[in-house]
Amino acid sequence: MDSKFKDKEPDWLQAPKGYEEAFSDKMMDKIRSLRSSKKAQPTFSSFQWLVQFACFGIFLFAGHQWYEHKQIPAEMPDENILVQMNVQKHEIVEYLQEEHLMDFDENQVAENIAEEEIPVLEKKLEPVMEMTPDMKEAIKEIAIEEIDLETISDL
Amino acid sequence: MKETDDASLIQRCLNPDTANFAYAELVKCYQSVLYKHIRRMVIDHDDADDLLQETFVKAWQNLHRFEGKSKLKTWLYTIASNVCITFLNKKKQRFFLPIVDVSGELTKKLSQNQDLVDGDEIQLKFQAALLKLPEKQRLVFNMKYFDELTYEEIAEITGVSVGGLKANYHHAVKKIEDILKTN
Repeated sequence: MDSKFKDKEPDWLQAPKGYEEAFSDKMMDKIRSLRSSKKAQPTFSSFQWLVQFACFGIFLFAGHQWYEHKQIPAEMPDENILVQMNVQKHEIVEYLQEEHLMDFDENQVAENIAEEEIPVLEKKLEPVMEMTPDMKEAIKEIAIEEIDLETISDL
Repeated sequence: MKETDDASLIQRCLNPDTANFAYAELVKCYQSVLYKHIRRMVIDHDDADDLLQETFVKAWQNLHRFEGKSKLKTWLYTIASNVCITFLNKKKQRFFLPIVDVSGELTKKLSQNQDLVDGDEIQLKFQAALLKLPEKQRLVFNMKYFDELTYEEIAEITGVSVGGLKANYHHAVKKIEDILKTN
């Protein structure tokens, strides 16, 4: 292809008069604003990031601990927990009696639990024994509510 | 601009104490050639102005990544070309236009500038024929024919092999000649 088209650059391709200077000034204003906005942004060193990360971790851990602490009393008076532990109501009564948490006729209960059952019972009650005072209190509440004297005599 | 000058210019641009002055120098040095490159692609002056600004902003933001493996000029051409292609693609997507209609729209803009085409009808026909080429082919043609870049430089800019570019340019010339003959 001959070069007649490029030898004569079309006028429409020319930028308007004074455009180059105006563009140059506009561009430098833009660059200055970009630089100043970059400077204004906080720059974090890796140490600062590490400190931030550690603080966030501590915050999460503390939040988790607080949440768990708040949840225990609300959850404990739930009979399902006892069901999960495979602890029967009469076993609770036995335990409560041993711990002197409830005042009822010892003989009535003792008659109904064979001696050979006691080690098995103790085994079953192990998780209950490990309970915190809050949990024991919750069990006591359930027992008082649900086990009346008649139930005890039926054991 | 020589490669050593490019390297020192970039060093000064990256130095916070000399950055403003050095970048102003860079803009002055390349704005004219990049403006024409962009204007040929998008025709409209206002669009070209926006895209030229976008090109220099992108160059500023990525200057620290420029490794000096290519010339500064070809690197800036690459940014400008990508900016143009993205702009034209967005235009197509926005109006759901096939490429033919985009070229039609650009041709219309060109005709509106007919007074500026110096009354030279053949020049107008030539520009209209160029607009019928696919964008990437037009880009290659412009860089080879008007900007007189070497195939090696265009290969760096477009990422296409020299052989591919030669074939591309040959097809573009053939198409333009055919269009001019039929008109």
